[in-house]
Amino acid sequence: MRGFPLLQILSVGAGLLLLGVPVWMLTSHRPVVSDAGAIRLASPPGIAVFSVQLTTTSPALLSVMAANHPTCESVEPVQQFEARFEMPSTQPEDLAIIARFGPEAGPEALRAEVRTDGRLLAEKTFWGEGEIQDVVEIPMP
Amino acid sequence: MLRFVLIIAVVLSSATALLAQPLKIASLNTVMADLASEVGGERVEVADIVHAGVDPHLYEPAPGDWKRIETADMLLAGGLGFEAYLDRMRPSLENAGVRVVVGGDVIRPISGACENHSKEGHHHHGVIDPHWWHSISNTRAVVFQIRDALIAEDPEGKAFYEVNAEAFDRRLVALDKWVRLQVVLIPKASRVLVTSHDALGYLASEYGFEVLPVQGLTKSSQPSSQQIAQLIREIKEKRVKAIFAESLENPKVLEQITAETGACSAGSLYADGVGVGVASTYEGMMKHNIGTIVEALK
Repeated sequence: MRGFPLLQILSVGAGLLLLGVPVWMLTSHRPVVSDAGAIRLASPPGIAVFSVQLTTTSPALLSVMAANHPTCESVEPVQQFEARFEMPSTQPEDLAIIARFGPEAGPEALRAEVRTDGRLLAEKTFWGEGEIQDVVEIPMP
Repeated sequence: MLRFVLIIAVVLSSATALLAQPLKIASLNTVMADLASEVGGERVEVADIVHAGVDPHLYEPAPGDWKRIETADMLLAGGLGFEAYLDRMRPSLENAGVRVVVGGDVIRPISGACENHSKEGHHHHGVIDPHWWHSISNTRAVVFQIRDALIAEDPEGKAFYEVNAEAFDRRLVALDKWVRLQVVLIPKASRVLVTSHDALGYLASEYGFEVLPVQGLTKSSQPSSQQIAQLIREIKEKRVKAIFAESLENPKVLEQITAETGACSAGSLYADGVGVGVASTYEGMMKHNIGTIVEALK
């Protein structure tokens, strides 16, 4: 291999960096994201994407339900879970959220945050033991 | 320690109840009767004067019923005009020492959604809706009203009634959450209840429904053909998916509306009180009604 050693080092470094970025993106700690509706590049007029972020104090099976949408649920116990729903912006549906904790869990908390366009619309924290189920009402954005 | 003292008090009052005569309670309302049985347990003997399956809007006390009411320690009624004869009988009952407990006295009443459709199709408001039990928060208030009335009549059973009322109240809180989780499954745009008469206003107000009744609050008048035509228009405009009959109704008019609108007939609801079988208790009635509504509209 000919050329300047410095240039060679820089080329190898740039190559490693390019390979490393996707590896880092896959392995970094990110919540599980579930898209309820068909994924679209842009929502049709009058429709907004509502993102629901669930956080728990211990790993739990998490699910979110909304009328007219399939249920979004984590496949394994997690502490963070995100689901996205496309709904009419003038009349978003309310959400039913469920957290099922393992038998060893004690009193636990479940927090729900609902956002659209990065703007926080609703936030609520629920407490319970074993299983927490409740309703989060979404106000009009 | 407090729990231990409470358990001893309940055991003692239960033992006293077995020795003493139970309180005699007559009820003109099947929901009130069920609530009194839950709170009163073995310390009370509840007689349903108006049974499940009898239309309370049409009921008038027979002489035999009068006798049972007059010899009771307590009379339960829904109130807010549900028992049109109650005001007539109340003074003589109170003179006879019968404690009259009216559920409607402790709730915040609402007006009927639609007592009558006018010729222009507008709704008249202002008539009080007496079907308060379709709101669980109202029912919780009435449970504590009954507890207090039982304690006033039978102070020795205070701890017993308090424990029972608290336990039942916890079940009602859980029932309310269950209802809310069920109703979420119905799209907001589909939350329209077409029913035989205007009995579900409290349910509508609490859980976000609109009610389109065929008749008003009292069933006293039959709807005109103009009113039915207006209702059919509204059902079509709002694309209502299902129409609900009531357990005590002649479903003929509803069948006609169903045929003309293309909406499906979604089964019967218990509007004027508890029903039979699994719906023979307050909790069973609510679960039946909500289950039927959600299944049809989701």
